[in-house]
Amino acid sequence: MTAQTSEKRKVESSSGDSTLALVLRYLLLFFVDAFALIVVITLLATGNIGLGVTLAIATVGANIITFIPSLKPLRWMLPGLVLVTCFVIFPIFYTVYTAFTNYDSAGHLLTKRQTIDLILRSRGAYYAPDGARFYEWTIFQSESDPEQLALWLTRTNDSGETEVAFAPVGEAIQDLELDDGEPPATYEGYIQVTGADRIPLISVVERQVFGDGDDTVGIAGAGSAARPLVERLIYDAETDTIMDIATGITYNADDSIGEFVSQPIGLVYEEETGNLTVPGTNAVYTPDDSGIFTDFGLPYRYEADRGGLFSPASNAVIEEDADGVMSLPVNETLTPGYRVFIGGQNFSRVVDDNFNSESFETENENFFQQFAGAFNGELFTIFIWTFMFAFLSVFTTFWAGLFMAIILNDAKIPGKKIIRSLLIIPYAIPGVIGIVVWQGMLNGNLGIISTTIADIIGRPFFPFQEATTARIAVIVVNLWLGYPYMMLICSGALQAIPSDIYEAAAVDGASPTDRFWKITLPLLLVTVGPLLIASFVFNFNNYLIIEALTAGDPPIPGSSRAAGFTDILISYVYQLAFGSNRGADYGYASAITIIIFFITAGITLLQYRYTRTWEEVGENV
Amino acid sequence: MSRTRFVVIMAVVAAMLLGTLNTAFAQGNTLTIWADNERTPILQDLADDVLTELGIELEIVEMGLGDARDQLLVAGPVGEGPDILISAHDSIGQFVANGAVVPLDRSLFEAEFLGSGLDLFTFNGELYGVPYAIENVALIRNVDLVPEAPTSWEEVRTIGEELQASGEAQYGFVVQSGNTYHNFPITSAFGGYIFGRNEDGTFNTADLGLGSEGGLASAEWLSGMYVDGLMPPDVNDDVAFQLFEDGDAAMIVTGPWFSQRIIDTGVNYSIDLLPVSGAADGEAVGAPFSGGQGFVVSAFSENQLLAEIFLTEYVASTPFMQAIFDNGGRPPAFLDVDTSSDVNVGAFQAAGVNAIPMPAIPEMGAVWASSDNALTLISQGEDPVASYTDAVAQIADAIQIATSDERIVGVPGSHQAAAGCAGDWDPACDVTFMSDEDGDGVYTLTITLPAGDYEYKVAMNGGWDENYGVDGEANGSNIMLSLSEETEVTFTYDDSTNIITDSVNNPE
Repeated sequence: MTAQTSEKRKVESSSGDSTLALVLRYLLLFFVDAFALIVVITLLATGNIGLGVTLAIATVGANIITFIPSLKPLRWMLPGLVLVTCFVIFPIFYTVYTAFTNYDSAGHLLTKRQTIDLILRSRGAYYAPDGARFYEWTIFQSESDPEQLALWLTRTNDSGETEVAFAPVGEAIQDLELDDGEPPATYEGYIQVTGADRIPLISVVERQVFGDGDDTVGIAGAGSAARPLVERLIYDAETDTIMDIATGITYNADDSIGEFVSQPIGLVYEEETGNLTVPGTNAVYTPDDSGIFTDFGLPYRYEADRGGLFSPASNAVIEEDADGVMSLPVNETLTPGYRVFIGGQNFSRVVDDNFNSESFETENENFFQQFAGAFNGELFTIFIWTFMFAFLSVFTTFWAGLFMAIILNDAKIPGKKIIRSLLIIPYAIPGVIGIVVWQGMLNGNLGIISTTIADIIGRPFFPFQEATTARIAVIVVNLWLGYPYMMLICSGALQAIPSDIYEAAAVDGASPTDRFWKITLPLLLVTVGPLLIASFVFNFNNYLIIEALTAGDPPIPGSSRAAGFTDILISYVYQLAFGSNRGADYGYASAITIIIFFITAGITLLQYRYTRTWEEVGENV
Repeated sequence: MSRTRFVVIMAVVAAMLLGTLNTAFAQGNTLTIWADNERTPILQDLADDVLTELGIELEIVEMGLGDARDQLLVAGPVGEGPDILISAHDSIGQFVANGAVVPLDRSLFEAEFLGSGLDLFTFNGELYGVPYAIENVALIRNVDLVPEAPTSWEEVRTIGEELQASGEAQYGFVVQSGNTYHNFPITSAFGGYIFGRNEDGTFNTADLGLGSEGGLASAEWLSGMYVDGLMPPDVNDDVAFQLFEDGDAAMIVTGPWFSQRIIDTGVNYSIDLLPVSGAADGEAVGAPFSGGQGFVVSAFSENQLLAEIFLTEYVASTPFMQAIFDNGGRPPAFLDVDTSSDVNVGAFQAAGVNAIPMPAIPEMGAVWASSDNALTLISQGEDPVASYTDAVAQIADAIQIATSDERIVGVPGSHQAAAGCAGDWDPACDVTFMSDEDGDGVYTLTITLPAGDYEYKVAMNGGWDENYGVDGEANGSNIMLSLSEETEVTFTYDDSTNIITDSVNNPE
């Protein structure tokens, strides 16, 4: 104890920390390390390599920063750095990765390994071949050996007779001659398992094979056991195929699209029976009365003089090869598929869906018109409106906020604190609630604002029915939501302007207008400029207000995709990516996100270079 | 100091590892159920019963229906998913496409459930869930204003005109605008539909019913109501109920989820079947959508058989279903449930006698947005036919099918090589594509063929999926054509009968 205490004092004197702070810091680091270790192990075990590695890097970085004395200043940024790595940098890389895959919820969510496991484990991986019998089953357990189980099987056959059988594991099935299929309490040393006692045995019997040799029984469901139940899907890792021995179709794993696609089926004609079989499988296809096989989409008939199968529909002939095998193309895929890297297909799809290059081939139009026409009509409209919406939002909220801030800065206003508190309210209310209330107030039938305006102008007023009024409504509601923020920052920035500048201006004879435009505003914009840019970018992607207030309405008539006049890029894109038949198309959405990011980043950079001029003005004052 | 630190770290890590081991230990007798916030308390109450009766331990996790659908496909493959989850029936299509749910044996449930309830969870001929609720909208009528239930939509319009003229009520009928689900009874009453059906009962996604005759007729009726001021636009649930309560709307459309709200309006109401025919003397064809909720078994579960036994023996029983109904109030799909506690349930069930299951196929996602927009446009006074036709184009674009406008009709046969194609029997050769200049569904092709005996038929869209032969029979036999000398032959195809003829066999 003494030695440790003196060591602590040595450390204390060298680093200047108190003992308590030191102990607390290391203790915190221990817990962080332990927690991170558990999480990283779990992530790597479940296959989330990316996130696991990211977290490991972040934790190692945290340790390095804590223990190397020269990196001490970084300690204060440590929590921020870790969070940025995990929640900002990693999602960016993951989104970019996803944009190059076919990740969607229409059967491409799982990795290939997960998909193969799922397919082979599913109910569809087993089947009861033609002629199999289905029974109701009851579990029996051997008295002498509790691990030995058997099934009591009952069914009523087509003639109405009761068939009863008893099938132990690993022993031959006994067919019993009984009129009543009710399972007895005991049978040949086995006891019937009832009620809650069955439950622990369920997982055992689920995949158990009863009987032995060729005569086996397997449980197909809660009410049926099949005699026999046969494994149907067989995966061959070398050839990367799954063979279905019931249909004879072999599926190839096509890694370019992430699906298991059927190969042509190799059929052999049997003279004696008139059936088609697939060698090496249990598949047998029987023709109908007129000799036509109807299982392959188009009808086919075996005609020896044509040398194989002939389709009276398409007149196609599938000839027998040297071994007598006819390769009939079939068009089947297994469910589900899996996610694969598909390169830039999502990006080209974004371009194809939204960019009509034929527009450039039309003559008699200038380049700008061709460029505008190249976009789907509505995409261009939405693009322009998104910029206008973001700009107008910033413009209106800034001037409103500045106006309030200037007034409230003046000492002569009575009740300033109360007024200021009231004005902050829109900022304090959760956005969605405010928007929904506005939606109610603007409803053309019952909303108080709309009915009042209707009374004034003398006819019904439905703001959300026309593009212009709907857009004005959106701007007004966004103004209501956004001005308190601008008021606060302008208030702070105004107070940061030194008052001796104003005195100097007064001496030089500047008018109030000059004072505002030439002194206040430029100095204000130096501080507030970046915040205006941030506000512009925020409103560019302000999905919430559009979705909650108008849902994009009013709709654009004749648009190629569902779109409305108040839709901004992000709400239009959301519908494209998540409202299609493929459910959630994450790959497509990621590709669009990246494109929008580059557009937004480009605009931001331009704006920033422009506002840098304000900084220069500030420096010269 | 460093040694102590090391020891402390190891101790903490060891303690936490032991903690995680506990959660990784899987119980063979436990079923994890994802339930929404209304069903979770019911299941938690019943969990003790289940443990004593069946010996199964239930672990219930609360998760909203929409979240459950999204989360199953993410959590399931990594072993964090449930064994059973509650799902709305229209998620089944997407689940099946992802191989995420287990087919059940329908015969085990046939006797105890409404057939229409089981149908909702049947996909591709297999049952994928055990329904507990089945619901549909109905017509809620203010009995004081409208003494007798209307039997056709024409009658609804007349009632509206009379009420407006007499000043008794502002609107005879109000429906939520821009809402396909609530407007569907009107669409179907005129003969419209969303997706057509193939012979085997599966949906034909190339047949979009909004553009059909019935669909357009329903759009025109709606447009008439809006344009003539008989129905207001910009209506949602709140507006509809407020107008109903104030006596400004005599009839509204809503479902059993608002059963208590209807009672609370204080209006003397009656819940009726929606008018099933469009015209006053039309045939009864119409119906609302039916939707359902039920229990499905996850294909990622390690306890599929146990889950199935639980559903068969415990869930599909009167005590359980009664408990679900008593606490949730949704019309039950289980036959043996006493619904007397909610006066409206019986009426909603009666109104759903014709109900059509809401399609559960993944393509439905593309329909809602376009269809809703078309209805909004109609409520704003835009042309109904144009709006619906545009919606059809949008949907077709979204699910990437060729609409009927782009129908390519070809004449494959043994004449093609002689006509200039690369080979015979090639449905994609454009030399033998027909054209329909005036758009009346009658296509023609005129080519010059040398003498010889030929066989031909007609095939659509460059493939053999849709082809017709003699007498317009699908996959039918070839039509013979004999030319004694070089002749200019004109082929004529009528898309309404699918019959193709040529000028040699059928000179006109």
